[in-house]
Amino acid sequence: MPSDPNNTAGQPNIRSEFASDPDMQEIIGLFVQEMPERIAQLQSSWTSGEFDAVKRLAHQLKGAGGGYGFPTLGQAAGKLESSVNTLVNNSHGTELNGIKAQLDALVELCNRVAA
Amino acid sequence: MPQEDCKPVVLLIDDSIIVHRLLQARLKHENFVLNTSLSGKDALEKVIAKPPATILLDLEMPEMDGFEVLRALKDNPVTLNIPIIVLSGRDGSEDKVTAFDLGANDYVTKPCDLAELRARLRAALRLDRLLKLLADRAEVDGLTGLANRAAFDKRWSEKVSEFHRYKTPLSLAMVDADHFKRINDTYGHPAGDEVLQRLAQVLQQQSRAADIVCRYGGEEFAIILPNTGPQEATLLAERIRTEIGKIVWPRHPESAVTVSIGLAGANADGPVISPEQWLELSDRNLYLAKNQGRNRVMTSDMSSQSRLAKAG
Repeated sequence: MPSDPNNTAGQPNIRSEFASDPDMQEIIGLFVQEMPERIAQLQSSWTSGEFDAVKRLAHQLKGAGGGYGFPTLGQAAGKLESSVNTLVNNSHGTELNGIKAQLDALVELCNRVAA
Repeated sequence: MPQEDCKPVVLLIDDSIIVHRLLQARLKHENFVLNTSLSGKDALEKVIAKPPATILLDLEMPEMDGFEVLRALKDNPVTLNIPIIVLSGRDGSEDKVTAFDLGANDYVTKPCDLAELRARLRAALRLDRLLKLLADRAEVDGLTGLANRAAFDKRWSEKVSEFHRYKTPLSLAMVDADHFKRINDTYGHPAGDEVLQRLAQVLQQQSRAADIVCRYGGEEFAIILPNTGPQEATLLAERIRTEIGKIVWPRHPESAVTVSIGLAGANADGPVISPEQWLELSDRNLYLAKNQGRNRVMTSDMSSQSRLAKAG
């Protein structure tokens, strides 16, 4: 399997735990194929300060990550969701840089998923 | 595919297409059809058009959230009894309590264990089957198997509303066994029950598919005749009366059973009249038929043309 061109960090691809499940192959393919678009949305929402959109995307990835066989992705998305939640509900004293690091960590994982 | 039509439908309401795909893939071998909806508003339209057997409902959705969808479903008598499983990323007890208090039947947190979700779906579908069975039973008369009085009241109001809205003909026949008390007293209650059952059978056989035959109470039956004006209804009533008179009764071959029938009907141009007033008119005609010697049909034509003709 050729490495993902987005995978600039040189980290190995993350294969789905269900890669060999015939029921899952097609939708894992779509999940991976749509990933660049999802990453772009996540980053542009963050840059433009649309935290609700960041939260929603993270929420969806949290719910689906494990289901598609990428549990680490689901966990990273869960962390980001809960931090953005705190940010939205109480922006005073929340460390934006810390949340950005979580977002980057999630994007890094997203970049490495492979069918 | 006809086989698909028999399977119950589960509707998934979730704003994420990746969740739709995941559950479609993971539940495709189950004995139901999974339909999907991306928003609360779209889902409510779908549910009202064709109520599913169970709903899987996400809580966090933009615009209309899961709680609002839940409230709307429980506010509508058509959708009130559909079992709902909340599928949510939030596992705080506050959300669970709110969901259950709003009428959810179950609460599953995402990411969820698939075997557990399948089992919970099967339980919800069982509940749906039982509720439907109960609703059917509540509308059936135990002795005759006809629609009972409660079902009659409901269907009759619906039909009178349709009559006013769409201006289509409608008639109501009240059928009563003559001297029924005498049968009971002479031949015993089992013979009386047999008469009621047989009458019910003949009424069903002689009526058409769209007609609604009910046991109104005691030895009295009601037949709702949609799309049928008073003239046509009278012909049908006469046919019923004749057929019943021909029955030879195994327990009492020496005594025939006759019926009296009171009818009130109108063609498209009928008067504005309540279901109760219409029923009273049919009942009054039944009383007249009894008074004039039984074993006959009395009809009122409420169409405006006929009333004008009578007046002229």
